Amino acid sequence: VVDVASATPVEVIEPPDTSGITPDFPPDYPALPDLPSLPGSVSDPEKFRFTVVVIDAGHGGKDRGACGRGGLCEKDVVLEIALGLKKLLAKRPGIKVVLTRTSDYFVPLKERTAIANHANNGLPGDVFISIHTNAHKSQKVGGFECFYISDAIDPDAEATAVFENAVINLEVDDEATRSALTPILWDLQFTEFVSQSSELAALTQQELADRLNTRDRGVRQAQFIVLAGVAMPSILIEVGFISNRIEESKLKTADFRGKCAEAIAEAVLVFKRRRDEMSRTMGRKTQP
Amino acid sequence: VIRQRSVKIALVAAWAVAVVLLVGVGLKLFNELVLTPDRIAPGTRPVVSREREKRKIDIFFADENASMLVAEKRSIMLGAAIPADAKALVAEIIKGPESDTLLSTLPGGVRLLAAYEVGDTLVLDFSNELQTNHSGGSTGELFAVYSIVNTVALSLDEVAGVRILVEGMEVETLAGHLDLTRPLSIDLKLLERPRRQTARSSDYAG
Repeated sequence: VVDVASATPVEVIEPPDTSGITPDFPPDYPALPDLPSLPGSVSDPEKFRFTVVVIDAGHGGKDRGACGRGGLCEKDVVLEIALGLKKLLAKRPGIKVVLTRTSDYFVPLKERTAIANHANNGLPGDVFISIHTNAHKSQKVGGFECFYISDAIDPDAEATAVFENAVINLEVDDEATRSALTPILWDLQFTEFVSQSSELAALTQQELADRLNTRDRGVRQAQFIVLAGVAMPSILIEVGFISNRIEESKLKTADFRGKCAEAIAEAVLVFKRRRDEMSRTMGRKTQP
Repeated sequence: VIRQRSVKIALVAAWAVAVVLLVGVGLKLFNELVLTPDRIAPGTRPVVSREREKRKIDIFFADENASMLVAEKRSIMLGAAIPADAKALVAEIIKGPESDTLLSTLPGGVRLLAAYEVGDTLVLDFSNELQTNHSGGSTGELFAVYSIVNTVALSLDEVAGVRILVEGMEVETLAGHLDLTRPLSIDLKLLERPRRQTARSSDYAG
């Protein structure tokens, strides 16, 4: 298979580096640009190409996340995995990586979803990956698991608004048609996101199972705020229990963190190949 | 000709009267069947007679790997007002499991400060230990919240959703994951083991 994407230059977009300034102060993001109109015609396969991966390292700054008895804290572990994952993905052709935080500072949940929803030149990214470490008050509980959003719930208002803006760009002049169309289109789109999120969660869980020798806890659905707020397929990965002595010591090692990053990168690349293949098929079908 | 015209006029008049009557009856029915219940009782539900009795209730705790919620049967006196019943149920969750193989789901020191109904949503207001003593982690959060929601909503038919507050205030999450800004309903998937992965063998390949 010839990868058409290999011609695209690699580009990594990051929020400005605020490390070493004030760790607990929210970074000064550039103002979010107005939504531009969608480039190309509907039959333009480039429009559907999968390029922007949003990586969300959980917690940060004053929010330490869960901490182990040995003193290791979630915010540090997940940042390193996120940076490792960025490194692995950014060197691949046709992938742009956007991080919701690049060092140890606090980012509110709503800001994380806003970054993701504007990650692709003001439009939503193609996939959202939130990385966390798990915890339970029982020290015996352990293992890794992937979550995707419950299909039984309504998406967050913000995700819906982002989608509505995109629909407005679709040159539907008639206000009545547009307002009638939007909820139906969004419903279809959300269903598609849930199905793709489920697929990515399964892929990631399998890649982690191939590399980690901790308990495979399987894939679950949950109404997590960051997943409900993004207008794209999304998963939340819990790589291990920091509250479990043995897993805390594993989470300290570069080896374990590297394996986590590698597993997630591999899952994202398989997911991208499948999406790109779908776009090509769609492009062929819609072209005369 | 004049007679024929007057017959026509009479027919048209009769037709008009029939239409007016039908519309009137329709509007009256619409008022009675659709609008009236709301007008009489805004925000309340039909009263279900609740008898005070001991019932065998499922109180949910985490299994030993915190991979699913498992019920423990308790005999509890219910049938008072819904908030009082909810308090009795939450007290059992706070007590923790009797079985050694189950794990308690709520952080130590937590108390239920108040319970009240808003429509068919039950509002449960907890002390700050629900947040401050929480272990963190999405699994800890998920099992804390849904041991409460599933226990209460499955045992009290009148409760459709459960809203969790901390010290009287709305909270976004307990520890950064699960959305607590709206009422939550029963999650039956947590009563099953999570599905195992077969991503490789899946025939889905684009």
